[in-house]
Parts: sequence; structure tokens; C-alpha cells
Amino acid sequence: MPFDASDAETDDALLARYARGDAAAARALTARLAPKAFSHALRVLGDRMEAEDVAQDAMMRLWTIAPKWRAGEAKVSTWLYRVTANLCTDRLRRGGRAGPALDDIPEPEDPMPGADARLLAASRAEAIKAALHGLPDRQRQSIVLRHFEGLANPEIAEVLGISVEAVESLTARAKRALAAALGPMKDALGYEDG
Amino acid sequence: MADKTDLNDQQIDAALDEAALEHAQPSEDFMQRVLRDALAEQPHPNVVAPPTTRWSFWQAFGGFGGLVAATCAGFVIGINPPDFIQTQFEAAVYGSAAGLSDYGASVSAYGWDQEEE
Repeated sequence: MPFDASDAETDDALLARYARGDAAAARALTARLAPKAFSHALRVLGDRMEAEDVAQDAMMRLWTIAPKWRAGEAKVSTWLYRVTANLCTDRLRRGGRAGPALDDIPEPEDPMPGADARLLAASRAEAIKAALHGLPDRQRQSIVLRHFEGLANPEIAEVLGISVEAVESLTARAKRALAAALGPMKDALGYEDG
Repeated sequence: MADKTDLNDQQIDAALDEAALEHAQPSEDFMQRVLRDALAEQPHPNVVAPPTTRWSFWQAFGGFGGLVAATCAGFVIGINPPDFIQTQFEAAVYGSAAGLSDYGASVSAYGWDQEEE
């Protein structure tokens, strides 16, 4: 069944149409929001199956609340990120640490001159994802929402239920932790001193 | 304090940007499951909402109002009946729609309409 991800209509308007029984709105909302919930969950949990479960659960809560949704009070996507973040936190508490450990990431190939740049970039991406999963949950959420989902700090604050200053502090601590975790792999990942 | 062997801010940002380029594409199966949930949970457009307390009150008032309206209509018809009701009344009482005019004719037969001399 094709999805319609047209950007012409706001999430609020689509949700109102969904609540009135419009099947096209159900398809459009699924196409627009389900990938966001999935992407967020995947980056936080590091496991596709778990991310799909969490994202499906978050979307189900959206369908359930749709008839009672009050337009203009909150952004639908912010609400969904918040639900997803909370579901991820619950899952991490139940299941312990998620994602691969930094030590489990294979050592990247020697970045000699002429080495494949794409391979090096892929190694860096794997290394930073592994380092990300070594962060405390809130720090990880702030980095994922800022750098992977592209949210601004005020929206991240709303998602995590904290102040903007707290978001800035979380993000700064997270980056310091990532810098320290990746430090030993600095040369292998092709980073120069500076 | 940052160790000199740590990555600097620019390197961390660049690494995060590289990682973000990897698109986390959900599977088609996942998208279909979410859509099935959406359609299963969607309110039906023809479902009539249960009456609220306020609506029940007005419904009750409407019933009472109807009784008052019927009473008023009966009173008005009683003192000033429309022609068709009068015709029906005559038919019922006198056996035909022309009963009253027949009655008038018979009254004339007794000479009540004769001019006084």
C-alpha cells in the first residue's frame, strides 16, 4: 500500500483528519512520523528489532491519543520523540546496556595515503556509534536528538523534560565523553592532532 | 579538562555528522505493521458519539416543549379553525361536506330568511 508523505499539511491537521476516520491521513502520518520514531530508537538502542518494537509502540500511543489531541498545545513530532525517548529509557533500564561496545568494533584499516576514504568514514561512524552507546542514557538522547534528528536545543529540552541549560550541559558532557572514548583510536581513525 | 589525546570539538562534530549520514531506513514490514495499527485504531467516521448530560437535558426539554407547542396549536385551532378543518368537522357532524349549507337551506325553508314586511 503506497504511503503519502506530502509536506503540504501540518501534523496537527493530519492527526485531526485521522481522528475523523480519514484513511489517507493514517497513511500520511505513518510515512512522515514512523521513520522518525524508528531512527531515534535505533540510534539510542543500537538494535533494529528493538527499535522497531519501540517505534511501533510509540506510534500506537499516537493513534490512541489522536481523538483527544488538542492542536497547538504541542508539536506532534516533539510529543512522539518524547514518548520514544521514554520507551527507550524503559527498555534500557530493563535490558541493561545497549549497542556494541567500543572494544567490539574492529580496528579500522591502516589509513595510509590512498586508503579508501569511504571505508575510513564508515569506520569512524561505527566507532562513534559504539562510543555513543557507552554514554549514560540522557547524554546519548541529547546527542541523538541534536546531531542525528536535527532538533534545536529548546525542542530537545521539551522532549527530555529539562531546561535548555540542562540540555547544553548534557550535550557538552556527552561530547567530552565521546572525545575521551575515541582518543585512543585517534590515529587509526585518521584524525590529526589539533 | 580535555586530554591532549582526546578528539577536539570539531573532530567530534565531524564524526557525528558522518555517522548521521548513515540513513536509518525502516523496513517495509515495519511500515506496514504501523499502518495496520493505525487503521485498526482509527475511529470510525460513522460512529455516533454517546449523548452528553447537556444533550440529554435539551432532549428532555425538547419533549416538554413539544407538548406545550401542541397545546397552543390546539387552542388556536379551536378558536379560529382553518377552512379545511371546518369542512372536515362538518363532514363528521353532518354526514357530508355540504351539510352546513343543507342545514342553511332547511332553515330557510322555515322562512327564517324571509324579509320582514
